Amino acid sequence: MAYKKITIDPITRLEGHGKIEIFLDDKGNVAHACIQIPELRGYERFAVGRLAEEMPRITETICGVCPTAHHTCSGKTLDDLYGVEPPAAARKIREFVYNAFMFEDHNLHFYFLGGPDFIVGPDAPKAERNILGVIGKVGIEIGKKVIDIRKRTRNIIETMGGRVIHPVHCLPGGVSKPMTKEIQEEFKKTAEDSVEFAKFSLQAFADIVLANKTYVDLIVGDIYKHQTYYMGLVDDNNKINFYDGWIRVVDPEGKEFAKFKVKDYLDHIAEGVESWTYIKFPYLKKVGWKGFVDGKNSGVYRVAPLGRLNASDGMATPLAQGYYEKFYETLGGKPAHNTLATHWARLIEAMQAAETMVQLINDPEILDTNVRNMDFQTPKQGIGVIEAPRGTLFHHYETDDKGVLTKANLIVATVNNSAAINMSVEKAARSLIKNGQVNDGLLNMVEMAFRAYDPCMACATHTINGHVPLQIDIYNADKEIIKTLKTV
Amino acid sequence: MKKTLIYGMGNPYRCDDTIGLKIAEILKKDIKNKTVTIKSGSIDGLAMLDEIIGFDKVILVDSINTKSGMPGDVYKIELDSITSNSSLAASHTIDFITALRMGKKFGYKMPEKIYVYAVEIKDNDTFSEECTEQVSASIPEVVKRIIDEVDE
Repeated sequence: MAYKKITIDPITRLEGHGKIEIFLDDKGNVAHACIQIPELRGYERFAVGRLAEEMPRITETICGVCPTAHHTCSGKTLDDLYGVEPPAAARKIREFVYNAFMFEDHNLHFYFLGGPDFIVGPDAPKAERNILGVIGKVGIEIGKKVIDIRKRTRNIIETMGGRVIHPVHCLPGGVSKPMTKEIQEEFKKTAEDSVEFAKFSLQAFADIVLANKTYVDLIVGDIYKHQTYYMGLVDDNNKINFYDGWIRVVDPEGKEFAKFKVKDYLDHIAEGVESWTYIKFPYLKKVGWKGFVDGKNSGVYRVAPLGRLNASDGMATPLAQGYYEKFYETLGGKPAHNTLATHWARLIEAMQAAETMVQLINDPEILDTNVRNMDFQTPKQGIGVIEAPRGTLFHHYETDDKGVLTKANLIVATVNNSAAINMSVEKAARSLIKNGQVNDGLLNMVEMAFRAYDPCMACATHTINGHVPLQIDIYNADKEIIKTLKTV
Repeated sequence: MKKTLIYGMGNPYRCDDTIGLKIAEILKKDIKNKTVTIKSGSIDGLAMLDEIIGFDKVILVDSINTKSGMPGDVYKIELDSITSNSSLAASHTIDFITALRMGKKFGYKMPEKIYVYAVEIKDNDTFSEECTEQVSASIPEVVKRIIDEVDE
């Protein structure tokens, strides 16, 4: 069968470089589509032979976007490796900084990455589908408000973490410094303002997206829907927790399928490989890998905001819980399989992060100066987990008795979603591209399928490459380019 | 007194991508002028906007890949000649040019002059804290040019 090949490479508004390929049959309909994501590219091997205590500083350079997630997860992994429990104040400082990071990162996605699709519109001219288009739509004053709260929450990371991009506060058994009363007072205000900002964002989502029938139809429609398993960290009451807890998995009907501690993750998660990409495809071991298909018999699971909401019994804070209830009421019950609803779930999580910041910063114990437990045991193996903005993140280190790494395994958030992202891209492409009709607007709607996951492709380099970030090549059956579309 | 920011960019574990960081570290030792602030890191366009507000002049030091350049070639690039597509920052957020446009739109005090010293690189895939030989050889030249510029 003759087919055309469409390549989107690299993808706009994503960390790193990825490539979408869409293969059309001779009638111009989608035969197959996939996304290739370069991932990690050797960090696990690079780590071997280094001291484990360097890992919080090394792994956070995987990505310029979610370094705090890698740093904190690595710190937790070192706690396990050295058999130490951080003092209460240290844990609270870590959690406070981490929730500030979650809040900031989720807002970044809504206003800068996913937001343009909805705030400006999925079929708006490409030159307007960016932050400047968002500002044009919502106004300069609101734009400044976004920048201001982002700067202030990042200041929390910088103050406690030493650096905003690659913080250094997490050490095995605690953190590098205690919190002072003066800093606490400043952060109380930031935390309270974060709650107000989260309310504002959720109202903006209601006004701009939920009040628009076309957008709601897009969210609940079949184009962006997959019935998969879901995974996320929950506390003892099955409420969402970003920092620690049980890893809970629910099936496509919402029933609890598994609940385990991270030390047992290899009993539940396996990683498959495909010949056409070097990214791994994690799946539920007890269900098995059945390929890129959804349903109860397929081990494909999803993480990130939608996955976390589905895998939990609710939010851990009161205001977020109210929005959570509205979320499922609107989407017709639980679990919600609507990929684009991830944007909404993200804002509800931002609310929980802000409320958690308020709780933690007002806890007198956070000022305790005992922030390090150095009763280290001889290292052998450490396993840690955290909920990164983009989903569940696993770090697993093995060392000799001097703490020199002999093995490292990282399952990063985007990788957990890699099978689902491929499925979503293919389904959107099949639904939207018909009879050879391929235009920029349609391709953006295909991109929306994976942008909802907020995937991080971790190029982790900053070389000025001079390349156009989005190029679509259309090939004929002889692999000759017959048309090139350039976005941006 | 006019204030200058020098910012070295790069990933510390990606071979030639470390060039901006290495140059910034040398400049931190060699430049004593108190009107000059020297920083380094791996930073996105939006975060860079936070960094540059309030400075009169900004010098970025980064790696670059061009089609015809040779490893170690040094370019001084006026900001206007870089398109907003160039990944001067992580594409996950926004590029630096877009961040600048946003800053101007918001009425922030933006630097009068912004330019980039960029070194043509050979390898930013290999995990290494060291640059390749050809790229390392360019470091003295870039350091000297930036020091001369600051002294002007």
